[in-house]
Amino acid sequence: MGAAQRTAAHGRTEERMKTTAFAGAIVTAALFALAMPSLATPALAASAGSKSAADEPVTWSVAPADANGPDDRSWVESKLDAGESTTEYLAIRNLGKTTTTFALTAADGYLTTTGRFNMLQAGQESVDAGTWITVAKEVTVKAGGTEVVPFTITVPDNATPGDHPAGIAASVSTTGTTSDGTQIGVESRVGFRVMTQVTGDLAPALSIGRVTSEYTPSWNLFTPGKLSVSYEVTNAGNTQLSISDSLDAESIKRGDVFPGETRTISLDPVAAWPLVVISKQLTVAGSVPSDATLTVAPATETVSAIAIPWLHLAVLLGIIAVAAFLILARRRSSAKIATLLEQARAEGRREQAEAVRG
Amino acid sequence: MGAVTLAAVGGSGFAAAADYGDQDVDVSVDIAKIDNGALALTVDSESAALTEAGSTATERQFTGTLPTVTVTDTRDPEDIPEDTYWYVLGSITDFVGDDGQAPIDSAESFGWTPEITEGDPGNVSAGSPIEPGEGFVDPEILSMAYDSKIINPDGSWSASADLKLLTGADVAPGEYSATLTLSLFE
Repeated sequence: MGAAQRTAAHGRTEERMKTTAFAGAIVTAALFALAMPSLATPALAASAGSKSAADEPVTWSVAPADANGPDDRSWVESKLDAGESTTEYLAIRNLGKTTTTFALTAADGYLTTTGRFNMLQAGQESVDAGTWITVAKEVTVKAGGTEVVPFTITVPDNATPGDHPAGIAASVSTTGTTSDGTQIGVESRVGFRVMTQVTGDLAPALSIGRVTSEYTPSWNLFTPGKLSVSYEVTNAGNTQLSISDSLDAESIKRGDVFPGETRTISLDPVAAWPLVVISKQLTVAGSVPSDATLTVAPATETVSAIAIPWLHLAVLLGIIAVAAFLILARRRSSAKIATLLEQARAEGRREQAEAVRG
Repeated sequence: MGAVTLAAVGGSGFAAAADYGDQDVDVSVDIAKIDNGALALTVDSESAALTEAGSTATERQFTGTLPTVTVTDTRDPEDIPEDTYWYVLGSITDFVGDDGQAPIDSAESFGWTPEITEGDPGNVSAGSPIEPGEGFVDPEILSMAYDSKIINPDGSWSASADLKLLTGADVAPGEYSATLTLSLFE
């Protein structure tokens, strides 16, 4: 091997050592991150009484899977006919130190007011896609192990076409250990969405409800005030919609709304001059995430706000008042001067007349 | 260009050391990519008890602490799809008495103040406090400012919350219980 080649090989070795050191750090960090919760346990367990296996923290993750294990999906989406059924899987990984039994629940899904997916909690009754999912009531997973559990989605014969959201989750519940005071049981769950689209007539539609607008004037004559607009949008169709809106300007994406849901959306305040009546056009548009070929008729609404330019009028009035004062004062003083001149002339004439007489 | 120059310099060095012999030893380690990282939730196996504190003549107040919840993300950022967000939200049932008392409406009486106990507050926030009476509707206890891929390197985030139940002084005494559900979704 020539000297140049040897040096190049040495360089490569250094590269590799750096890379392996870096990867090693990642492994350590990952292990550390996983180990952290158990470090936190002793402090908390001590306050609740003696430490036992039941007091160990539980760490788990849930992901969509196929029969062999987790696949790379973030959630489950199925397109089914009414009356059809399909089998999907979820993988539960127990990353804690003790064998744990997890309860499995499925329920109707919905989007919160901030657009986050959630599913109904225990005690709330599911009426739609949540009732279509059949899954074992519980599963026991060994420490460090993964269990793949099948679940079936059975679409009823009379299901309406369109998107039906549901969720499935694995949960652990705490049991009260002290009977002192009022108990709050904590049910913690990790899950994912199960979206089922029933084939048939997909009819996306949206409508605007209440629109409110408010004008806030500026205290500076030379800067515009602000117009704040908020509106209610209802998904009146049977598909999930991605909403975007525009107020005589560029379109802004606002998130998704499930069929039948209503969301209140507030726009960032826009600059507007107080031109007595401000009128802008609000356009709310939707698109169907599951099918780009479907179009949704946008909804428009004229937003008006009364914006009397009080400050500008006050300043204008002030200017007029000052000008009027100045004009009047000038007139008075010139009138005074004219009078004085007249008197002076009369004086002069009198003196002249006296001089002539004398 | 730089590499060639280095080799030339090194070349002369090696030439000088030729008498001592030279052995490049290749050190390499194959660290397999962690294919099975996961987004996981950790909770302590404890319930939260509310004890009376700070009551006045017209209102009774009960406070407690939510056991810490921790989210860990050990996935390879390459494996995380764009525009995905995880979050933990809470929901609570009404407080039901053990002896037929009228249930205490959580929307009118229950609130919490979440706080981050671990994690970069620039990336993940604790969610706004809810005062009893505001209505406890799906508040977030851990929510991110960016997306899962961007904050993934931080690895671990924890939050806890101070819980508060505020009732009228005429609330029927007894043991009440409710279930607070914490949900991690992405």
